[in-house]
Amino acid sequence: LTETEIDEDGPDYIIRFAHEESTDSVQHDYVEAFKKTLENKTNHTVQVEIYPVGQLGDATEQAEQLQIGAIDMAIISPGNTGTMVPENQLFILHFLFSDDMEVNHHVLNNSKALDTLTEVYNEHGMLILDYWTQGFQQWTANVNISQPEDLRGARIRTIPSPLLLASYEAYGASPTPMAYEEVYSGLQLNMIDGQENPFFAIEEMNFFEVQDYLIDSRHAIYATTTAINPDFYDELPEDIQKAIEETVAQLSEESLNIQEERNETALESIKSQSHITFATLDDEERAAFREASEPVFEIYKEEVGETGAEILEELQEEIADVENDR
Amino acid sequence: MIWLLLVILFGLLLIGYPMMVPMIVAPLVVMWVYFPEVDPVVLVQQYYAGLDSFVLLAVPMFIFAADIMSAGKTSQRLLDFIGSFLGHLRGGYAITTAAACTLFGSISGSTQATVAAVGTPMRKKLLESGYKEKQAIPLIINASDLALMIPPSLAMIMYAVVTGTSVGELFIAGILPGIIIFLMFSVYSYLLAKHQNLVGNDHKATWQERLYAFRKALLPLGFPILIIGGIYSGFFSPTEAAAVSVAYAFILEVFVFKTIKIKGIPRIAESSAIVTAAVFILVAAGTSMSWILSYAKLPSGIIASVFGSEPSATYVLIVVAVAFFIGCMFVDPLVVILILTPIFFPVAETAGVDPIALGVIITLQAAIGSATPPFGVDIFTAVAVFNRPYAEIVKGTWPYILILLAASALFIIFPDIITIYQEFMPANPGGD
Amino acid sequence: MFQRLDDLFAKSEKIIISYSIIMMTVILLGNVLSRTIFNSSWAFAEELAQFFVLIVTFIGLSYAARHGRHLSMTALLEWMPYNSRKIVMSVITVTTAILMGYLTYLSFLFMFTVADLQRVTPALRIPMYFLVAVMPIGFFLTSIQYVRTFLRNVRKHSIHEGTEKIMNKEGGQS
Ligand code: NA
Ligand code: NA
Repeated sequence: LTETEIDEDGPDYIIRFAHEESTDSVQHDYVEAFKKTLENKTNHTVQVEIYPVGQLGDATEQAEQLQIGAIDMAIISPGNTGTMVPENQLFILHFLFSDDMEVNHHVLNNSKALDTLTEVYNEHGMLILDYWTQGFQQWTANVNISQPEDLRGARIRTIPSPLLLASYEAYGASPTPMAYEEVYSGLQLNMIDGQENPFFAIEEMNFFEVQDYLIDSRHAIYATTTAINPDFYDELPEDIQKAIEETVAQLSEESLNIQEERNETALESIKSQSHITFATLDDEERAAFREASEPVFEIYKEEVGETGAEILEELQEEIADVENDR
Repeated sequence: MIWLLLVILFGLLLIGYPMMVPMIVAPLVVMWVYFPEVDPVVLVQQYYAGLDSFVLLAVPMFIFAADIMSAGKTSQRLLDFIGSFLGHLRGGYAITTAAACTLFGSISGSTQATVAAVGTPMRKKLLESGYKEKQAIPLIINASDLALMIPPSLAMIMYAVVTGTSVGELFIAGILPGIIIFLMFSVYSYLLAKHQNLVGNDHKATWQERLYAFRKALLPLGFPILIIGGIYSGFFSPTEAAAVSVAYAFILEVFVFKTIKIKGIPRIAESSAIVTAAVFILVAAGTSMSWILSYAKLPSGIIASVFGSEPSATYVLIVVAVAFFIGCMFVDPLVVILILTPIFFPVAETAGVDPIALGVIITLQAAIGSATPPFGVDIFTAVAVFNRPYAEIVKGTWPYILILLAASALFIIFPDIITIYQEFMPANPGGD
Repeated sequence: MFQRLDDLFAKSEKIIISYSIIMMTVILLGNVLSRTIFNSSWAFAEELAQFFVLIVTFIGLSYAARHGRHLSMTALLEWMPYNSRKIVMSVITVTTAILMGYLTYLSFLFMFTVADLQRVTPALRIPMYFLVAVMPIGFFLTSIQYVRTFLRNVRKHSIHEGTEKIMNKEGGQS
């Protein structure tokens, strides 16, 4: 028994909530807000214990611990769990989502396609309460990237995901999987020429110090999920389940602001600290990239199978619909 | 909870269990007693997770490279080369031993490999020139500590695995402190020789002989250049550098010096594999221990009670040094780093300690502790390699330990000595 | 018959772990060469090398137990009179055997957890439980080694730290 459980006035339920990022990050802001909101909503009959910085393990380990029951909730990013739920690799696809975050936010919250994805997650023992985003994926590089040809032969650091490798191979680049903590020195020593990450990560890891170009490319979104152990959730009384649901819904809105503020501050900090050349992709340039990325969508469908293909196609339609409504 | 953990850990250790047993059992019992509702399968998950690190691959590679070189002629050639310059001085053989350890340290990643490779030929020469066993062996095991300070270093790799700092940068940062300790050992050796009226080799090598020794040592001397140069020119990562050093050792010993037959390589690999297994099962178990500590939120509790609200950087470093020094007296340094680093790293960062400086100081404590009674691993290596009684070896170690503690104090008070390399190259923030 | 089977196991373990070390080297070097010469990385290098780490650790676990090569602190043990030492070593080997048996069971459960999640390795898409299977196999083989060492301690006059290692009366360890 933990101390809090022995305490007579203590909470009836403890939720152990793990995430991978530092205590000064988008995920931590989210989990702290979750803790505060839920504890207040339930009059402190529920207590949330936060395990930050991946101190209990990385994303896949956290997913396993959800399954084992060692933790109850976690922020689990699809990018890192594609080896478990291959269908979620659609979040890695380049130029699938809009360059307008409001559009993406609307899609993430209302998508029928993602409901199907949630069912797939369920088969793997994870209950997804929400899909949300930590910002756009952006490029940094030694060269300006405004057309696919600019990436020809460039060594771009990736996570070890075959689909992401395929994306860069489609541009003629030479994708290089590398551990996150080695990226800075890899860039510094020209072992690699560029990398992709949201602004907050580029700022936190000081990648801008060792790169010449920062491109507001918005080629993908850094999507993540709030996941809970389904058995744990099912055993909770209905009022607490409802409180959790409401809290997640409320945070879904807040997360849009949390990420926007984090990324804007990071971008300003980068601009004020360095002389890095800042560029953006215009509509025409985006179209050229999207065209080059087209074959990778087919690879996704082939590799992941029928369900994945259906989810992707439906999601593409949904995104197009929301974009057209604007 | 912490007491239960420690009692099990040291109790089983002292009874004589293989070290992996206490390290596996302690977290299991804590799990049963404090978290009965949680499935202990999660500890097995952590065994897997602990080994699932690309950087960790460097460990078996450096062990393999060192084993190939120990079986061959590399260490002998380095010794002849240094001996030709220093052999005739007062305390020359002692200084040669320290220098050889520094150089071999720049090839091998581990203190044990250095004890075996440099110790065997050097002990003979030390005894011949009038040193007693109780002086020779302690010098060898303590000078071997330099192997951890001079890159490559298994302790630094482990620290980097846990904290996400750059291995390459830790390697660079360890060089200057390593050289300072070498100089301190040399001064002590000179004073000791003077006090006992020991003379050096009566034959002072001619420049011709020195040139010959240098030429013979040229290829082994290329090792550090290859490793550091390769990492810093972006040709390969530190992990890959370890594999490259295996290739270099292989080519040198098999094709150039022809001291090992290619058929003998699997036999050497077997010995490297056993050492790797014995260490990695501790890494696996250590990860489960560090997980249970995080899960129980113990570190934050310990930190709050030991450090108060705003500890100074120096105070944090002193506490860290003492904790690691004591830990390494009992348990393998790599495992101590695995368990204690996650506890102290966050508070050290908050107190403004440079993560690289912290890594070097921790490495130094690991090195000292591993040659310190009662259970320093190098003492047991020496017992096994030289077949001398434990008590005799232990008796002579204290002067070196004092010197090393003085060095620690120096680096804790002036951590800039460690981080001065940053003046010459831009800093890497590391982190994750 | 049983002895011959065990010799076969000892030999296979030896070959497996030594060639795993050699293969690790080859894979890492190959990746460096491929990247430097052909400007293309082997996406599978990391996961394959890590598979060999698992093999070396858990198959080596059994092999090291066989040879009494696991790190231990026998200082206190060495001071004891012969008979107490023999009793303590018997207790150590039998309880370690039980622990390894329990870990075999736990790591089987972990293997099933991983199988449930249907996780695969990123590049080669090998099911993860296949890699994890090395753990229960290694713990099981190790358990057997400690059972046999225990039996030797009971049956024979000498003190055994591993099936292939008799404890040195004068003390010392390797
Ligand atoms: Na890990
Ligand atoms: Na070294």
